[in-house]
Amino acid sequence: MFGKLLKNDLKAQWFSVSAIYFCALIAVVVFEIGANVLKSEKHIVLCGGGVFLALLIASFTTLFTVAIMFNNTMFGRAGYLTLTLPVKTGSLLASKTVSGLIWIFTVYALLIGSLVLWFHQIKTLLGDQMADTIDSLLNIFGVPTVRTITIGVIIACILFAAIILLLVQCMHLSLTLSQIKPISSFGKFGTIVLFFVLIGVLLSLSGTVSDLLPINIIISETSILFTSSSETSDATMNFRLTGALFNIVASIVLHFPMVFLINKKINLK
Amino acid sequence: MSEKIIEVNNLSKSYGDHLVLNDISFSLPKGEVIGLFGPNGCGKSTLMKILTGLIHDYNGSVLINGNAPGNKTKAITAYLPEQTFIHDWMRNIDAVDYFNDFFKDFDKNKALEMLKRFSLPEKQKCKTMSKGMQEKLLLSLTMSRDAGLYILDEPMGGVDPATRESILKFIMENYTDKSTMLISTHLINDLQSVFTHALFLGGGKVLLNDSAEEVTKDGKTIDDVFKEVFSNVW
Repeated sequence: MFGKLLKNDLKAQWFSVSAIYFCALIAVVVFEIGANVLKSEKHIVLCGGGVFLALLIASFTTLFTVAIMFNNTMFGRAGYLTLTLPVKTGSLLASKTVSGLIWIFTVYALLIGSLVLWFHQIKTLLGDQMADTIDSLLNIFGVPTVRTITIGVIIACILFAAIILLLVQCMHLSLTLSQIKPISSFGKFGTIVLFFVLIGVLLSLSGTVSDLLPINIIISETSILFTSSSETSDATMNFRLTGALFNIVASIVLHFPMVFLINKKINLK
Repeated sequence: MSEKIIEVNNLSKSYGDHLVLNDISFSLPKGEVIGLFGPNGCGKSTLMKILTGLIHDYNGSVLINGNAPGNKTKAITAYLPEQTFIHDWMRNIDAVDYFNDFFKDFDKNKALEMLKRFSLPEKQKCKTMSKGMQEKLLLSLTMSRDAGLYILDEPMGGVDPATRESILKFIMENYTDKSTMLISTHLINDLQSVFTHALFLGGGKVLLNDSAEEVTKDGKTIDDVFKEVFSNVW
């Protein structure tokens, strides 16, 4: 049943985010063509910035859309269908979280991709000599190999997904709590404040736990090492794991009060 | 004694200080077409939402086929609320597929036939249709289920009299005596011929709960009895 829920949630969200993605795609194409046609230093920098800005707007709009979709399909008129399906509330919520995570992660991945592309364009623009100088400087400090960077990127994506997971869960919990008095009397403003308080407190806690119980993952050409030390050597990449683990655990914990509230406290208007 | 599909004991529900249902108890028999009548604001929709598991903060107990509202009861209950519940992104065919995905008792072929009968294009976006067309779609989806209990909240509230007649015919064609139908309506005259049981709610209380035969034994219609009962209450 979870697969069917996820399929329908992805379809529902695609209906909302496709327009955003389409606009962002047009902006990216226009800026990229502009950069290739004009070929001047100033215009390449400006066009790269334009691509980044378009995707940044798309990412914020996607976040907003995921929140609206959750609210409409759970507590709006579509809730009359969603909440009368013979499925567990936990599955309903999990499906909405996973689909939201997928869309937000996709748009942020595109955003990061655009930054990499922009960096590449600027590097090309500076010419071979300058690029060689940069590479020589990096070599002095020890540049990680392609394999190390590849593993590093995968781990960075997982850590990044953990933050987005927490973000989505905080959005969903804020919207759920906003259905209950006295928070409901503050309207949308109350929901937004609640969201920022929740995410702020949880990210601070995540940072504190990370400082108190440091677990780091150090990736080198020959090994992947888990350690409490943050000391690194040349050609390695270092990531802090505790914060990500905290974010994942907190996201799972937030699921349960939502299930309880929807099953016991929230009435559809 | 006939089997009970719905059993309600000491049910109370209030909105703030306003008590809508005041310690009511009743049971409804299986296999009947039950009319739920009462003036605006008497708690008909609230009762239906409690039965379908959309309202949780009430006192008392509610059982459908012996189970409290939850996944088990949702699987056997087909609910048609007063308002459109189809998601904005859906076309008619998407709505049919959605029901087919989640309700084991849903008959997709029957639903597609109904769309044709009501001249509802499969690929039309639901939100672009008129209120009457949306109502026909929702009814097609609800009645394409082989449910144990149908709960229809004002199923003909927004349609013209001609369509009303065809919808009524349609409901009765698709109803089998294995199922129970609970219909709330103000259009008593249009529907009274189909009701086999009547439940009157008013002033937070159950004012009448009896078979249509018993209600109309003095040669009165359900509408006459409704007017009589509620002229004394309000």
